[in-house]
Amino acid sequence: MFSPATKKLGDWVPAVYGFIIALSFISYIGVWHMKRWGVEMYIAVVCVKQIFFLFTDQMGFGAIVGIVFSLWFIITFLIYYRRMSLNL
Amino acid sequence: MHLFLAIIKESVIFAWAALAANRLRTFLSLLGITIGIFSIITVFTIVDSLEHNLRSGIQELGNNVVFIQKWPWDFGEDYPWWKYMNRPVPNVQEYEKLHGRVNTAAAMAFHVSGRKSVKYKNNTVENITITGGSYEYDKVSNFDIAEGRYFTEAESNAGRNICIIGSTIAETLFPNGEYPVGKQIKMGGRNVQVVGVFKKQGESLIGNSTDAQMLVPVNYVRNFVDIRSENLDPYIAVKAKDGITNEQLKDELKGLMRGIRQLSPEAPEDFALNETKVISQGFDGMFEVVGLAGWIIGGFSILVGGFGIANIMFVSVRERTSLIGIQKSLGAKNYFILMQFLFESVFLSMLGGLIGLLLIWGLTLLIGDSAGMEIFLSRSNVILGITISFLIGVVSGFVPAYGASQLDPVEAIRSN
Repeated sequence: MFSPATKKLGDWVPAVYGFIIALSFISYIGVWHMKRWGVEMYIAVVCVKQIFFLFTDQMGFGAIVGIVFSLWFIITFLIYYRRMSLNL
Repeated sequence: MHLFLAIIKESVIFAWAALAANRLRTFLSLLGITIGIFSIITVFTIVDSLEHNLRSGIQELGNNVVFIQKWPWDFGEDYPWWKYMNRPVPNVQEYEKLHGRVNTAAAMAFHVSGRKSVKYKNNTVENITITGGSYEYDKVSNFDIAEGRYFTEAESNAGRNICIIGSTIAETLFPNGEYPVGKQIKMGGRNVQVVGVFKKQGESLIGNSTDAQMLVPVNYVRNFVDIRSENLDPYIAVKAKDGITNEQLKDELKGLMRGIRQLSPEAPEDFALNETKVISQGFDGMFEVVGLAGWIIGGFSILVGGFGIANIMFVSVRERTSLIGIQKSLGAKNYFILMQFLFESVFLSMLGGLIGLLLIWGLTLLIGDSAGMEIFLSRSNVILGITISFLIGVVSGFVPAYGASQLDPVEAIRSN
């Protein structure tokens, strides 16, 4: 996340990436508690992360594998979405 | 917006009250974050300062300068040094021929260097670097002259006994504030007149600081030293014209040098065309490894610090469970309780991080220039430190805060 390579992309790049990681963590907690906001946050974070990767030119093999896994998770979460709680 | 600010204000008040009420517990919890931020940012500060020093040193050598030398700078895996051993070193005749033929160069200089002692009255500086440079040496090498001037073309071509000395040499030879320019000093028993003093540069990682250097015209040096000797590291430095890339310059130099040395088309080159980017590329890997080591060392401290913050937040939730119950029974929403504890956690974490950053800043001021080079806390490292603290606060405080927000108001009120 804060590797020297990421730091070289710009002063704010590690900070933005850090926020993405923190939001991912929060979305996992939401999903763990079977909350809809967890799934919604997870989908939003995945989209933001891909945009971030595109802008910072980090769309390599690892990122593509990440997209495949993320899509798999999203599909799984959406299957259970109706059974999840609406509350915080 | 007003509610958001009210939550922040209330959380800060709660956090401050918790901090004041349990000073030792809070101090021990914050210590983890402080040490973590201190370790990571200290490593990055040192790495950045070293890198800055190195890049400045390389810039002084010249970014768009190609060096024609006997030995290449890039040592590959298969380095056939025995082939390079028999190569001839560049000489003044080759420099003069090249100077007349090259089209893509803005400036070109022949350079030799050796070691000698210099003396003025009873003051002596032992074993300093004496650099012999041709007239355009100031155009291929970046340096500033603090006092006096550079050589004129006539002085350089005539090989006059004049010199420009480094600031350390000037301070040692003229300790009582005597003005060095115009004075006659002795170099290896010969009189040399000082015409200029280099601006102080400080230590350089690649050892090219002018502070302990003395520059003389190469035509003067050749009167008493064999400048064809390999011991004097003779090389030709060529600076590209504006708009000409180093690759274009190297292509032309390669062809011209092959012609000057009369190499047949099949014969391999018997000279190396070196660029400063090879040095910086060599150090890039090293800095990455040091940075990674910093992350591993500081990462564990931050992890422990994060657990400390999470722990203090769990305790805080436990202590205020009945209060949470009252707040919820009076209509407080779940997100209000969540934000309250989350802001408290972020505040505590950022406090620890800021203390760590302040310690580093104090340390950089304390060290100052005594390390031999400028050590500074960069903006990017401050942003990094604040971001890490913020994220640790969010990540370690979310679970306790979420737990608090999910409490049943009746159960919470009855908890005490």
